[in-house]
Formats: sequence, C-alpha cells, structure tokens
Amino acid sequence: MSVQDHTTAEDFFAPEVVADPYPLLERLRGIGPVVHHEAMDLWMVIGFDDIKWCAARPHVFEFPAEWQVGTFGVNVMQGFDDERHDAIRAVWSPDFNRRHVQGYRAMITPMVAELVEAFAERVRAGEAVDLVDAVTRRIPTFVITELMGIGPERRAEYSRWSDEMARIPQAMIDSDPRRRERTLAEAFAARDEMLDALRAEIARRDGVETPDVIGRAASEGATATMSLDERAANIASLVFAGYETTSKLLAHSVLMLARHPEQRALLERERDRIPAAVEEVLRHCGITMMTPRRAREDVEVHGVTIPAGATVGLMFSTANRDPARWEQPARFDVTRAPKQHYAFGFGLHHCLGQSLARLEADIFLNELLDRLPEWDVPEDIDFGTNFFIRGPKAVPVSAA
Amino acid sequence: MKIVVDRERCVAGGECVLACGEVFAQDDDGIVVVVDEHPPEELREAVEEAIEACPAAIIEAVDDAA
Repeated sequence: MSVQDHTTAEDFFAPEVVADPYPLLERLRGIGPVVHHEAMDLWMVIGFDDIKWCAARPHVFEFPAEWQVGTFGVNVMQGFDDERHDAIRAVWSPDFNRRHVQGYRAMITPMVAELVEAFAERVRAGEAVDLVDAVTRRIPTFVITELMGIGPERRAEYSRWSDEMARIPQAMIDSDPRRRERTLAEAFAARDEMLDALRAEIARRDGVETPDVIGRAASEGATATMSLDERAANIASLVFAGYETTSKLLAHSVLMLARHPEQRALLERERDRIPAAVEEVLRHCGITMMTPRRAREDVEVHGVTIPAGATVGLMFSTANRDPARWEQPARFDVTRAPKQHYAFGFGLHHCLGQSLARLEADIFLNELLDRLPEWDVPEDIDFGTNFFIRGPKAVPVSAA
Repeated sequence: MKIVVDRERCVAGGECVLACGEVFAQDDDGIVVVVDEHPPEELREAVEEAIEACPAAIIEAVDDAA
C-alpha cells in the first residue's frame, strides 16, 4: 500500500473482505482519490464528486464492451455509449418508467403478501427460517418473469440460470486462473440455456408485439435495431440485472432492521418513512460495489493521470460513504434526509429498474412489518463470496 | 406552467431530454438544464412524459400564478 504512488495490493477476495469490505474501502479512501490495484489492473475512483465527473463522460470513460460480450455472448445495451445504446434502451424503457412501474403494485403485492405470510407463520411458530431462500430471492424472480409474460412453471429455471450468471462479474477479474475458468464455464452453460429459452419465447410471439418485456422484442423498433440473438441477450441482461441486486437489497434491509430495532420500530409505527429507509439501505449497504469503465484516452482525475486503455472502477460503495457528503457515513440511520447516492449508478447507464426495485422494497417491508413487527437474526451472517454484488447469502430469522 | 427541477438530485439519465428536448437539455456533467422555463401549452403532454420518466422524480410543472 502506498500513499505516494496511489497503489494498493489488497486482496479483494479474502473472506473477511466479503464479510465486511468497509475497512478495506476506507483504507483505499486513505490512499487517495484514485487508487491503482496492480494485480487486478484496476484504477479505482473513490469519491462522490470524482465518480460523478467520470460517469457523466461516457465518451471518455466507455463501458468495456468485452465485459458484456463476455457475459452475454454479444454486446448489450449497457456496453454501448452512443445512439445504439439509446435505440436499445428505448425499446424497454416504457416498461420501467417510474410512473408506469407504480401500476405494478397490484400485481406484486399479493405475491409478496403470500410469501411473507407463510414465512412469518413459521417464524411465529418458533422456527428459524432463512429469509433469503423463503422470500427475498423469490420476489425479484417472480416480478421479472411476470413482466416477461412467463408462466410460473418456468420461474424456477430462470432463477437457477440467474443464480449461476450472478457469479460472472467477480469471476471476470479473479486473478486465480483456475477458479476463474471453472466459475465461468458453469455460468456460461447456464447463460446459454437462458438465451435458448429466450430466443424460443421471442420466436413464439411470432412477430406480434405484446406489452411485456419479451413482447417488446417483437416490436418494429426492436427488430430494426437488433438481431434475434441481441434481443435475447438484452432481455437476459435485464433478468440478470434485476435479480441478485434486488434480492440482496431486501435481505440487507431485514438484516439492518434487526441490528437497529429502534429504527425498525419507528418504521413500523410510521410507514411513510419506509421510502427514506430504503434509500438509507441502498446508501449504506453497498450492494453494487462498483461499475467498470475504460479510459479512452489519458485522463486526469483529481490530479491522478489514468492512462489510456486503463480499466477504471467507479467505486459506488466508497462514494456512498463519502464523509464530504454524509455525516458519520458509516452509521445506518433511516431518519437521514435522503440524498442522491450511487446505488443505482449515475448518468447514461443508470439503473433502468430502479423504480421497480424501490417498489418491491416498499411493498416487502410493509408486508413484513404488518405480520412480523419484530425479529432476530444471528450475530454471524454469511455473505458468500460475491464481492461485486454484495449481500447476505442466508438470513436466518427467528421471533424476537 | 413553470418548470422546476432539483439539479442536486438529478442522476443525469437523460430521460427528460428524450421525452421533451424542447424544454430539457443536459450540461457537460449530464445534469438537467431547463432551456424553456415556461413552455407553451402544446408541450404539456411531452413535459408530463418527462416528469413520469425521471427516475429521481426531480421535475415539477407548477401552474403560473394568475
């Protein structure tokens, strides 16, 4: 670790880092505004304002398309920074428009209520139940398959494929080649099955556009701008983007409210505080750790020259605890007045599904507090091995 | 109507520009700029679209005082 030359050799894959990355992240902040990890060959931008500057300049900091091609087989929306990006995003953005998303409440609420009721009943009966398996990983899968017009009998498959694909981002920068290759082989097999299924679903619509995520792929706009493979890959990227992230948001919120029972009690009494509480979970818990970019030219960020061709990591989790922006940023406090954070990114590629994620979290917390106003979780929670989309692997919940 | 935006909370998504480019633009940092603070009535529908599409919900159209 060197303050003078802005480098670090920290092991991001160490188990204690996934369990709690914040000590490492704060050490990075102490090194400087831009920190170069030589083994991963990653230039990490740390501060809120610097990330905003970088994310606002997609023509200087392009998305490294090979990450998308590597993940999906072809480039998808997020990997383009030009009119192609706009044309592709425009196909699906109506379904994720903030106002339009509110209309999904009626579809989502009964399903969440049913899952939470079954879960709460078991907890009240004295069982310690894993929230992740019983509830939180099922909600986003249900929602996205409903939005895709896919029936319940196929849901488990999409869930399994998504679980496998969620391992890809971290594997891509794993410096252990054997571990990397093994993980990627398994994940790509699942991806190919999902793409086959999606191509078949799109073909089944037989060129007739229907108002669902798969049906949009049959529109004139979609077929004019993308091949069948590209349309399937873009839908896969939507499924992938909204599953692990949302599931972990819900799990983090239950964990944090167990650790802060007085804040949980406040939310139970004052339900209109829940949206602000969700923003605090997003800020505090660092679900999406970073997003990658590539510098197209030598560029100076806060006095540090990043060379052309460098892979740049915009470290959302450090920015969300920037002490220049938040008082006592490490403190979880649902009563903070929400301030813009980077849990959903920033700029051109900002999360398409953010309104949907917020809606799911709002419904889930209300249904949970209705049925189980108090709960306990153990001291020791397993965060698995996924550093880049971080969240508890399991959350055993018992009655308080 | 008068267009009011909260630039502090803008996420530079550009949805507003796509919905109504006559009223909304982005500066070099991608943050919303209102180019026409008092757009004509025929743009109301497009302005509503921008308001609905904004992921950060930072756009308002307030009625001008009589």
